[in-house]
Amino acid sequence: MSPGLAYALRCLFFGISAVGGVNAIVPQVRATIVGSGWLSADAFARVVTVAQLAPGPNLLYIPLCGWAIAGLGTALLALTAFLLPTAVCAIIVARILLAGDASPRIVMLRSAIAPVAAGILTGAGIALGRDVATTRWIDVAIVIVVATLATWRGNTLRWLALAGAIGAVASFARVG
Amino acid sequence: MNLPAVQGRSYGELARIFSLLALRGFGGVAAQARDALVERERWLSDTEFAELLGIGQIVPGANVTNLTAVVGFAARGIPGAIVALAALTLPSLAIAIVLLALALQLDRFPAAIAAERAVLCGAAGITIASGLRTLRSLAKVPAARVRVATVAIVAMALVVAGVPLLAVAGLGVALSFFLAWKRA
Repeated sequence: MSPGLAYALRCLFFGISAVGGVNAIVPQVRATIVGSGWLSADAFARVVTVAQLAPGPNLLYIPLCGWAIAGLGTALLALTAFLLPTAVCAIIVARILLAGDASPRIVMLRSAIAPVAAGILTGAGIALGRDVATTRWIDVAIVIVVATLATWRGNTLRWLALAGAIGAVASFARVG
Repeated sequence: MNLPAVQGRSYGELARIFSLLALRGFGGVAAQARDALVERERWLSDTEFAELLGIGQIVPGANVTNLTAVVGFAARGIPGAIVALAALTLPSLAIAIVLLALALQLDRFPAAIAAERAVLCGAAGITIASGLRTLRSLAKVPAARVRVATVAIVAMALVVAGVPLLAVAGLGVALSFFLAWKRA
């Protein structure tokens, strides 16, 4: 079997095993790709970095690895293989939980989920900030200022631009 | 599926909304998804968004792609889910491929990484704010306020402490369900 096809097939399993988020399976994907000799460790690290830098969902590194292994066809096949089982699963669960005639117990379960998701979202933001803003005080300041402004006002793109501008000025002036 | 403001949306709307929010999504798309679907387009209430994101978290895969599949399905059935997922992933993938091709040629690109770090710091701030804004809205129901705050603080602390997300989701929902059950 060609490496591209073999990788795309593995993506079926990666999708199903990504319980709790796609970043959780980076080590597993790395072991498979580097272990099979499809990409070097350096090339894999570069793909993950680029996927993080590009705008878009966190799972971009999955099709991007496919592109690096065997081109565009493999990228699209890997993306489809990864998304198909998880999307079907999500739709089935959502149909049960969001049914218009759901039983009171289902409604209670649904409302139990919401604050957990909000807490996880907040925590994920704090964890991302901690991982990115490690050494320079200016980075920490950006995280705190943007969190405060965006909680107060919303409209997120404006605050991203502000963060970029502060970062550019600070790096130009060698602050932080 | 009971998402009244989503039902019957056109393929064009799905493609526009999801591709734009993905292209704004530096450092993760959850914050941009909330900004677009809840605040700007009003397809979902804060409660619906949090429920869908939570469902997306509990089933396998990425929380936002799962939410996208469900919203696309609620709008136009299976073709709607496919259009929404393609819009979310393909334009971003095209950009990532161009970036990777450049990175492979340039070997290193420190300037881009330096500029990007500030934006990632901003993205962290925005993600925190999205969680807080959702919480503020969920806490508007006085009877639920204590439960919402307790559960959210526990879930947040566990995530920050590095507990795997599935464990956080499982424990959090169990705690949340128990607190709601006790009140009822």
